[in-house]
Amino acid sequence: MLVVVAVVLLSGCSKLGVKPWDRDLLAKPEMLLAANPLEIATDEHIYFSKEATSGGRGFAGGGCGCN
Amino acid sequence: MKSNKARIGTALAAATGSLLSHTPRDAIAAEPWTVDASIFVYSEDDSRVSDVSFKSLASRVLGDEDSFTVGLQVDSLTGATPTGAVPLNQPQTFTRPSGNGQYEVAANELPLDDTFRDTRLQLNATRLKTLDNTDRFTYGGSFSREFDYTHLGVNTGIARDINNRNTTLSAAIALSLDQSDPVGGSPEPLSDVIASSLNAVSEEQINGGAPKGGTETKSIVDLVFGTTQVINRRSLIQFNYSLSFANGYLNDPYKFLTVVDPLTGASVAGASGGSLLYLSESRPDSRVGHNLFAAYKYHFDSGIADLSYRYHADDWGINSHTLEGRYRYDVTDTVVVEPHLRYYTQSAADFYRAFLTTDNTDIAFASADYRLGDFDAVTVGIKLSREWASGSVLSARFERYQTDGDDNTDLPGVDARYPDTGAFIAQLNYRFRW
Repeated sequence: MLVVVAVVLLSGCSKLGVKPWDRDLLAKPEMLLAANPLEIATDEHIYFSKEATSGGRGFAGGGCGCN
Repeated sequence: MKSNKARIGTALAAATGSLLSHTPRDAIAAEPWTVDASIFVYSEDDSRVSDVSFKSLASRVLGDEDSFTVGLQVDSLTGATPTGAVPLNQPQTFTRPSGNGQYEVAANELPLDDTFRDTRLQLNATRLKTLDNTDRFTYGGSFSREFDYTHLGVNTGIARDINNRNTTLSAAIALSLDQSDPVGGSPEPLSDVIASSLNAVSEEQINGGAPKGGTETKSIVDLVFGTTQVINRRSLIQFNYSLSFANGYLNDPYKFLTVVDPLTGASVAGASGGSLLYLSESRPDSRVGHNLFAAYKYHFDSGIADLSYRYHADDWGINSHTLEGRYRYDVTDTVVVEPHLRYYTQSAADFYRAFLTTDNTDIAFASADYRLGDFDAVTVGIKLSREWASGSVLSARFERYQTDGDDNTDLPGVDARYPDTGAFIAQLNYRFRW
């Protein structure tokens, strides 16, 4: 099922996108999906410590038994 | 309660971010280090957990899409944390995990372990290398150390751009080996806490007192598969699927459950001869979890919106949804304001119990750790940034985190209100080139 979804998404994806000269906005550092890695990591640490879920954006990481 | 091992946080977030967030860098020569240095404070209400931390991340571009990132973090943790025991209509006395000394909890008060004090050091490093025009790979390691916990981790990943660099496919794996040396030893699961404490303090053999273990280990394997797609000139989207396998000692050695009478809710006697019985918690020795994650960014004329959603499910029966949004608004050329809203909802682990009764203590697994229970949580925050032409940025963010969990009302005689967490979060960060 996942493979089917992936194939459909990928074939659809080939029609999306921009030409290289249209990357002015996308090239900005603030358009990175992980534009503030330290802040993202800080939040991951907070919520991993207080909730039972971790990861998603990156690794779930060493789950702590204290979780 | 000991905080975690090393969240393979900072550098991995940077590494996976680099891999998965497809935004091609212009060809540039080696640059100076870009350094982020933060003071961070997390402070819960009612004298519960507090964390003051210094965090830093330094990144250097070594060539075209090659970079090296190193992170350092030092945390000072203080405060008190719920042990899992419930308030009773009588005072309760608990022995500290070290076996030296005790603390008292008044009648109708939530038992909190106030020996929660630790200093934690975390180090991590990641290298991102470009293989050819469209392929990148990363490798890195992480280490953390606190008084009773040590973590060691390695990770590696690859990414490939296709469709004229509009699509990025990536895969990454991380391995963690964690070792815990609980203060006072690791208790036998579902063993009598008082009897075990007495055993630890004196040589006298007491009925029901189980000997404590020593060093415990845990291993985690994480796999992340992602795809990032440029949609148009203003937006892009990312989908990740991740799988996590944890094996080994997954208990919290400092948490336990109160045992009460199933009809009256009154406390019952333990093997130690006192009038109270608490049993150490017990969790399975494996956990398999899945995350489905999606993130979307859109560049408006005066700001950038960032929306993300994560769904989690695992074989402990925990399901969660996380919805998060940020809007980065350019107030002026140099000042940015960014509001932040996060909503989280979680269903309890199958073995989560607010307390035990004498007719259900023969179960295999049970934990009253509130973090495994049913609850919702909301975070509201705002960040202000000031940017300089040199590329330096000073930012400050203030947030409020509040949980709302389900109180257990199974037994009217037991006060099993959910110990909600309310916390203030503040972070001051300075980014500069060096």
